[in-house]
Amino acid sequence: MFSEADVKLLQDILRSDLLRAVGETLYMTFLPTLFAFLIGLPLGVLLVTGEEGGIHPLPKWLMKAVNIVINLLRSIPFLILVLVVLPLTRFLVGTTVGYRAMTVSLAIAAFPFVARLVETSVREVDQGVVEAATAMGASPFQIVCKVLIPEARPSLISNFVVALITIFGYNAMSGVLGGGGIGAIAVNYGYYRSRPLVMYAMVILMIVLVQVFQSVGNALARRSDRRIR
Amino acid sequence: MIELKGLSKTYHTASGDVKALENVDLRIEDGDIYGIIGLSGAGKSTLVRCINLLEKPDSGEVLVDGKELTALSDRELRRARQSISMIFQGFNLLMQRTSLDNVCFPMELAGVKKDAARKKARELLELVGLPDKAGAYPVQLSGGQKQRVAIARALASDPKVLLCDEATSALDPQTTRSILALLKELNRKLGVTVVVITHEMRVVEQICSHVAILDKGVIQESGPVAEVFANPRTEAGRRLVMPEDDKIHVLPENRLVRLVFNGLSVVEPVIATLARDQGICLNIIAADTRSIGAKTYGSMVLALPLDETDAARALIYLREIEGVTAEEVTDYVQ
Repeated sequence: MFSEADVKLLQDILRSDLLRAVGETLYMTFLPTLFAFLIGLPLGVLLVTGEEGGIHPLPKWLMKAVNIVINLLRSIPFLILVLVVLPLTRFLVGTTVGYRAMTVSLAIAAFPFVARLVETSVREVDQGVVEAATAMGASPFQIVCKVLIPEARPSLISNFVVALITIFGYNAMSGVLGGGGIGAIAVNYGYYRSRPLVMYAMVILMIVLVQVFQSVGNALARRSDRRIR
Repeated sequence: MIELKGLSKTYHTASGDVKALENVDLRIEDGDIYGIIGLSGAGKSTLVRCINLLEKPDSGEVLVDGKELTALSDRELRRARQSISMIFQGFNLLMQRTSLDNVCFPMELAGVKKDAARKKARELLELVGLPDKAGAYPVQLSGGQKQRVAIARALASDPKVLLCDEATSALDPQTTRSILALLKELNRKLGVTVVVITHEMRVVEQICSHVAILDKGVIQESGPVAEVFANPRTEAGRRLVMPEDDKIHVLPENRLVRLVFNGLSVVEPVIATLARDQGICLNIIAADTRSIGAKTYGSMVLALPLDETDAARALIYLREIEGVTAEEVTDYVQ
């Protein structure tokens, strides 16, 4: 089915590039997810606490503006968003190609998505518990740190994995835009050089990685959830 | 002391305005166990939430220990709330924390040192009868145990007032009794003022010293429990105290008499005595009586014997008993 040359090429790639590629992919997956949470977590909490009837209502126009900006960023396809933020990426890391540059683009592309994920997690927290904390004299900041986030923890962990896998998917696309990692190998060999065997191998590798992320994430979320006897 | 003065609150909903409270005045003395009873939708939850300003009244004053809460800044209000604790129908425990850490929570908020907080939390868990559940998560506890943890948590800030919002409504009758007994004990031991919101008569009967009847956002009547329950003066009061009064569909041929108990000693067996001493047997058609502090309150409808002389003698006998009023019923047709 595949020629000997194909197999030989794959072996060469596996031997020389695989480790580096997997490293780059993990870097481009975890780091942007962390950065996206750094921005998305406070933003997602704000979307809940700042609304009318929330624990610290903000002006309506402000909440509306934040919501519009998030929706706007989320409606731009990733590929295009990466192009849009290129100047910012250049400003931050000095270049627009390679996996470091892609990390910045990925973080920017993903934080609005993460904010929405955090929002849903925080909304799941029982309002009664928030009310109890308010009745005890907790300040809005204390409610966020001691009630909302700890009570939403299992759901936040699950959503972290959702974000991680989404960003993992994005960075395969980034191969097209001069990123790195196994996505780049798949695109460069499988598409530009018509070596489907290499592409299939990379796809299998991706499938395995996603399975691992999901399984580990599920286990962590379950273990952290005290609502499970 | 808690004083509510001219409290009003209207909710603006899509289907129109709903008046939850209308010009409510209420005064709760220190150390009282004060029941606020009403059917659902009467406004009692809104009322109790106004005491710690979880709900902001449209107008009126909320004075707790002479401090006007509606005039406080956010920071001052948070401080004031630390001495007004609250327990809820749904317990509202932090699900991701152990019982011990739940009890520590209000102390954490107030900045109490961790060791001191844990020590006190253990003492409180012991006080509510759960010394062995410190490490248990809420999901591992029964409803009654959860409410005990919630009570321990409520006491952690040394409150002067404990607000109970339908705190036993999600519990079975036996657990309800034990939780109410605990509240009564805490009131006696710690001197904490307890405000109980409920729709159940038996809750008020078991622990309250005073009661206010709330209907359609208005306090219909209030006072010591024995007084209010013995002689409800308002329509809403009567509906709560004698809910089954007019639901009999069979009219016997006998003449009927309504016996109203106004604090007859519970040990007095009125009807049995009548049978033994006079040889007259009465048939109980309907009864709704309750014992409050060793006295009987409520009413009973009795069928007099068909024999006219016996009927007359029975009436005379009943009218002479103290603590009971007997009147013949002629309008008992349904």
